Amino acid sequence: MRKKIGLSIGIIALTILALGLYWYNRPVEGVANKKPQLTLEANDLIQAYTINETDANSRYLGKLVELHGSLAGKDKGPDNAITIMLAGNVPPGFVSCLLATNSNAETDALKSGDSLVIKGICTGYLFPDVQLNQCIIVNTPQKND
Amino acid sequence: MIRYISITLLIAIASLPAAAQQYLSRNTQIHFFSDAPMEKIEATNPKGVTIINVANATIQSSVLMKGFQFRKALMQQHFNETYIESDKYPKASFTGKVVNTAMQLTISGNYTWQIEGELTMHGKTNPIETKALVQIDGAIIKMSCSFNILLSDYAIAIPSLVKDNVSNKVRVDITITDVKPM
Repeated sequence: MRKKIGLSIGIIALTILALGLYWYNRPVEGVANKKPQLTLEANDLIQAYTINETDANSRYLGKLVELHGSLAGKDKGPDNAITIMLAGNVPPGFVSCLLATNSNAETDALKSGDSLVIKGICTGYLFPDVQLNQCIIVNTPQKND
Repeated sequence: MIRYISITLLIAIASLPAAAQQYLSRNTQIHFFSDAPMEKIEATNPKGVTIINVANATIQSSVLMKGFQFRKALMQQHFNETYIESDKYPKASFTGKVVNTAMQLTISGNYTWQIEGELTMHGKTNPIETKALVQIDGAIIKMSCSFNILLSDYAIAIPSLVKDNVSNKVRVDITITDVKPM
């Protein structure tokens, strides 16, 4: 009986330890399966930040936002990381969306002016752009074809 | 006659293509690394922004703290909430001046700039001196530099429970690419 209790305690302790280690080392979770906290036009986000950065931060900083906008440019970083620039009406600013995935067939097919829906975490405003990271493309014209 | 010549000269000078005075990089990668007995901590933000003003030889790089990406979710959370308090202090910025040479970004070659400036982070500002390696190949410009900072200089407290996990000394590496006239 005592042996059985000892064994059970041992198993429970090991499980807790394993769960703890997993929790401690878990990777950063992506946004693919999360619901956006806010949905808005890319231009409205740029405008909010150019009018009052502090106020815009209180509304958007660290939030998962879904943006609707048109592609103004894309840019491949040294490690193949892709940034999608969504257009606004406040030049020279864009919404700079750093994608969670590297370049692929889907991002290669995107053209200037395409209307896109992008989901990502707003990291703030760095003149001249509003920045999002961990972004995923929710919808493209190609997907609607 | 002299008047005509001077007017022609004036027009000729005015129509010369002016060398760009301001440059912008949207791809300024900031990486930091700290080595402690228990844990190596590092993160990267590839989306820093640098503005270079040739006229007064100044360089300004800024980065959003929430854009730093860690391998471990817990580290990223602690960085933002406990250490850097990114809701309160969303940016870090470095402003510096090239002191050893005349700044130019048009003649191809490799250069070393001695830069003196200051870094503002977590509401504190401290002087920084660094050497930047500058590679100019036609219109392709790349710069890189590294320096060490002490967390204690920026009022970033390390809880005593994790003193062995977090080093007070942090190495910062900056790589500036995609430098374009503004």
